[in-house]
Amino acid sequence: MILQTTNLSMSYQQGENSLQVLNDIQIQFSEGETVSITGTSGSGKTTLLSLLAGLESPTSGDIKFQDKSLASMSLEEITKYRAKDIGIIFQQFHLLPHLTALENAALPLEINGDPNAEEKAKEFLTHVKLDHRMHHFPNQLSGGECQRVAIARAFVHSPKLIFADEPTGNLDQGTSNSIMELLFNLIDQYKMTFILITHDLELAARCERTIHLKAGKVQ
Amino acid sequence: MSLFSFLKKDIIGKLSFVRLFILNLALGLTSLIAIEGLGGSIRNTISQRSKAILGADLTVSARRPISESELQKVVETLPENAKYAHVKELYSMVRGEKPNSRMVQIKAISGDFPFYGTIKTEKNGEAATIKNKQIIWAYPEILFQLGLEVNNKLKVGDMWLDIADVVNDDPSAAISTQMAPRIFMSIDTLKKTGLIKQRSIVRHKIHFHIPNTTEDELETIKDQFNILLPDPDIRISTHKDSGEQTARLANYFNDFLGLTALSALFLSIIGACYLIRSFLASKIHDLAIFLSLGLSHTKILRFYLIEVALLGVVSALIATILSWVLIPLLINLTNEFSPFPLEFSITYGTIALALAAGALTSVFLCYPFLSQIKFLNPNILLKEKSEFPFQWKLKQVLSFIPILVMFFILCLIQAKSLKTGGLFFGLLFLSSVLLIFFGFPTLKIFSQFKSSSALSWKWAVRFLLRHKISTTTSLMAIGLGVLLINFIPQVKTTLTTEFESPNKSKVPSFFLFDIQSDQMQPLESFLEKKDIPINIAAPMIRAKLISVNDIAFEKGKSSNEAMTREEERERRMRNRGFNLSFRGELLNGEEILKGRFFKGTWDEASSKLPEISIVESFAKRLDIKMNDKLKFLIQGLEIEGVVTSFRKVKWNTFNPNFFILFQPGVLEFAPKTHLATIKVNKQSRNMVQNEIVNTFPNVSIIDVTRLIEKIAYYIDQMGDALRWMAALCILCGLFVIFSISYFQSNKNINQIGLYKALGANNQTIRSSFSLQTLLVTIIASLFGILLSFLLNFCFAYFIFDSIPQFEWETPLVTLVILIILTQAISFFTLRKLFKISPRTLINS
Ligand SMILES: Nc1ncnc2c1ncn2[C@@H]1O[C@H](COP(=O)(O)OP(=O)(O)OP(=O)(O)O)[C@@H](O)[C@H]1O
Ligand SMILES: [Mg+2]
Repeated sequence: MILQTTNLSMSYQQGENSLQVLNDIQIQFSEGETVSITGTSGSGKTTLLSLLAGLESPTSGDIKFQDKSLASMSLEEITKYRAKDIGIIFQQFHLLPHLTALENAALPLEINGDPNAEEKAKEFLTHVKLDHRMHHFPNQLSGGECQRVAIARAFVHSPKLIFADEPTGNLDQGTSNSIMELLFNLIDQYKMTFILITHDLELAARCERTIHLKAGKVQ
Repeated sequence: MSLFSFLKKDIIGKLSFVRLFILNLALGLTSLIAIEGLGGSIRNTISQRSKAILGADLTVSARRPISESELQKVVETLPENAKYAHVKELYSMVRGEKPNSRMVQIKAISGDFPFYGTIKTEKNGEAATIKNKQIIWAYPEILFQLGLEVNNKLKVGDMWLDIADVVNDDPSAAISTQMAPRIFMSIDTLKKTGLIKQRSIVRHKIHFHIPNTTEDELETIKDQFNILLPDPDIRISTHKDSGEQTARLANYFNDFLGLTALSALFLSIIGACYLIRSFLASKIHDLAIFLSLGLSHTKILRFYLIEVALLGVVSALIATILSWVLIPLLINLTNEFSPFPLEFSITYGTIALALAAGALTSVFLCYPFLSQIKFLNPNILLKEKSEFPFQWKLKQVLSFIPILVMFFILCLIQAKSLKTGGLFFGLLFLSSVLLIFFGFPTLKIFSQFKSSSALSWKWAVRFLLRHKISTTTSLMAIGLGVLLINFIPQVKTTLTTEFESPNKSKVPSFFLFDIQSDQMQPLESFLEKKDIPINIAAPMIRAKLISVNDIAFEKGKSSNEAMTREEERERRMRNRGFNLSFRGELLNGEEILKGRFFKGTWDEASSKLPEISIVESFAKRLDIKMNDKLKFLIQGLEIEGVVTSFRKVKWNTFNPNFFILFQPGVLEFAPKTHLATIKVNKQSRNMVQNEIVNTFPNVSIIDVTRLIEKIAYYIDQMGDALRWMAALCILCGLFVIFSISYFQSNKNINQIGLYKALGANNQTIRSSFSLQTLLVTIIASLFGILLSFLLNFCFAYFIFDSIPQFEWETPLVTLVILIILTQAISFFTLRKLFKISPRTLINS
């Protein structure tokens, strides 16, 4: 088991009321598995992802990464988890506008203190067929190209887990298809655990397993 | 929807921008309004006190006695009820029974003078009178310095006079009376002292009291007097003129402060430009939505212009309130330069002006950015990325002209001089350009230090290099602030070092004047006995310039028109008599710039005119060229010469020097007095001064050492006030930095969130932001300091003609304080961002 949740719950305090977003979630992900998470808007998909990725802490329950509980980790260890073990692809790409494609892709390697960050990032950009646009800034790239850079950034430091939240939500159908093609190829090639959030049932079906969320519960 | 409610909604919708913009502009306008208010207070105080300052409505004065016939000529034109009174002013040494002496100004009065205001004395208050009595009243510091008390006697000229009372309030006090305190006596008493005959400089004045005249009528009378008394040696001034004259130093000071105020405004304009630009860039979508809903470009532009004008007015209002606090502070500092206390006053005119200036500044500075709305195409809504399509073509760049012109005009108004105002504008502009063109490349050089491969350093440098506009704006804001705050201490160091340099040994201790020709020999042997050599002795001849190249010098017309400082000075100069001298060799510290110095003694038999040497700056002021023929009137005799050389004189040698020198062999027989300088060691200074006064009672002595101390004191005072204004500039600069970091925080939310999500630890992220600020602060400060050194060098080299001296304390202190302040600002603006969970990144 690479990732496993126990009694995971999350609620947000909004003034007097508390909004229960996730309720007693138990799921497991084994190594190399591809899993999609589906559900209606507001069902808590993104919240789940942010908990799994260690971006915020649950109200109750726990997540274990390779048998180590995230709740027991120090801030430093959580940071290290995010730096080394996971890669995230966002719907809005979230590239830093003042960095070139290459620099954006190299960021995780830099953070991990890799002395050959640029070289490796270059290699990976070639992999996602962006070698000719390496020195362009995000505002000089198309949406599809931006997402390729983001994909390169998620994979470049060879994490064990890849999270993707509606990675093609901002792209047209054609581009969408080619981006997904690229993603699945890479996952295949590097044998990573892949957790994909999507509305698109067709896409979800390409994963080995689908988890359906409804009102904060696994169905 | 009405325009008003639309505006209201719009402003509420962008409150953070509005707040920053208003505060930014308000800070800049505050200093300007404060200075304007200070100027108003000076003008107001003067206009209220000017009659008391002169003690009369109008005065006729000359350095020679005004003849009875001259007096009658003007008196005839005056109404029945007009009165007049003679007043004479001169400088003289006085001493008490203890052998202490010092220089005083004697003001001898007669008749009903003063017609306005009263000289209040200690014992008799306002009721005191000095007429028909052989007594004097003295300023308290004379008694103090000479160790005397009321009813002791004072030796004035040939007479011992009773000090009957102490002057508590003298409405006609001037800055000069701070250097040489005054004694009052009657004109009859003065005549008995025998001083008038021995003095080279006596001001003979006739004060007129013309009841119930308006200022305009007085001006007419003044013009009439000028026609009746065409002798350029006679000066006619109204109470208004003399009030202005008295406030001259305070006004100069105010002008000087005004320029610093403009620097603050300049900085806030830069800040406001940055803000409006960033604001537009961030509002591109809203604008596009308006456009797509069918609002026209011009409508949006007009709407925004009204809005920024409104913001400008609000800024000015806030600035007016802030300046209310600042003005009293400035008035306190300015009082050092004013013989009477200034009263705080701010007029509706000033406020109206401020509001208009606020609105105009705001509109002018925003226009170049807002006008670009027309390049916006609503189709950007359909496109993924959204950058405001700023286009800096010639036409857009030209739209900056109104704000530049407005600022230039403000410079001219503040400096009241095309030269100073232009120079200031130029230097400010040049410094900005230097910062723009060299600050950023320096940063690039810094970025080469990759050896320290720390991530935070790399991120910091990359961020700065890729945000060229905000980085450059920050560099400019801090750099200019540092320049301004450092410039004054640097120049001061140069000046004071010059005073105190080893060369000090060459600076004389005493300046003796009014030495009569027949006293030169005895004085020399007197000093020789004491082993005190005379450094320099020079004859001094009173003369009047009557024509240049046979064109007569006109007597200046009176005018109420606003004159620049230069015009004012030129007019004053032209009406004035000159002191001439002659000698055959150059002095230490003198240099010939053009032509050649006199060749020997003038040969009366030759057909050539005698040669004249003029100090270059003086010639420029009077518009005299090489080879011009100058005709002087010396005691009724016309003497002509031709300009054959321009000299330059190093002023800080404190040697007696003359603007105009004649070749030897021309003026030897003209009536003259002599000047001399001597150097006396510190211990025997007092003794020597007292002995000279005892032996040669008519010789006046200026203690150069004390004079230098006084100048240093004024420079100090000036520096204090300027530092306050410079601090305001720094504040503006810091506020610009604050605005920038605040406005960038939106960008930074994403940036910090992303760094966190990618697993960078908080320490790295924090130190990268810290380093960003540190880098900008250090580079900008270094540039500011360097520029202040450069300016100091230029001042020393071109204006004071001395070796520049540099001071390290202020630069270091500013650097440290700025680093602390900018770090605090960066910490403060980012504090909240660090608390935000990286999750927000996904939500946005
Ligand atoms: N920081 C927050 N504070 C309060 N409520 C929040 C917060 N973040 C999310 N929520 C709420 O939690 C619920 C689940 O949000 P979440 O983003 O997980 O939904 P989602 O399944 O990803 O929806 P979508 O498909 O639209 O992206 C929503 O109702 C949302 O309003
Ligand atoms: Mg979501």
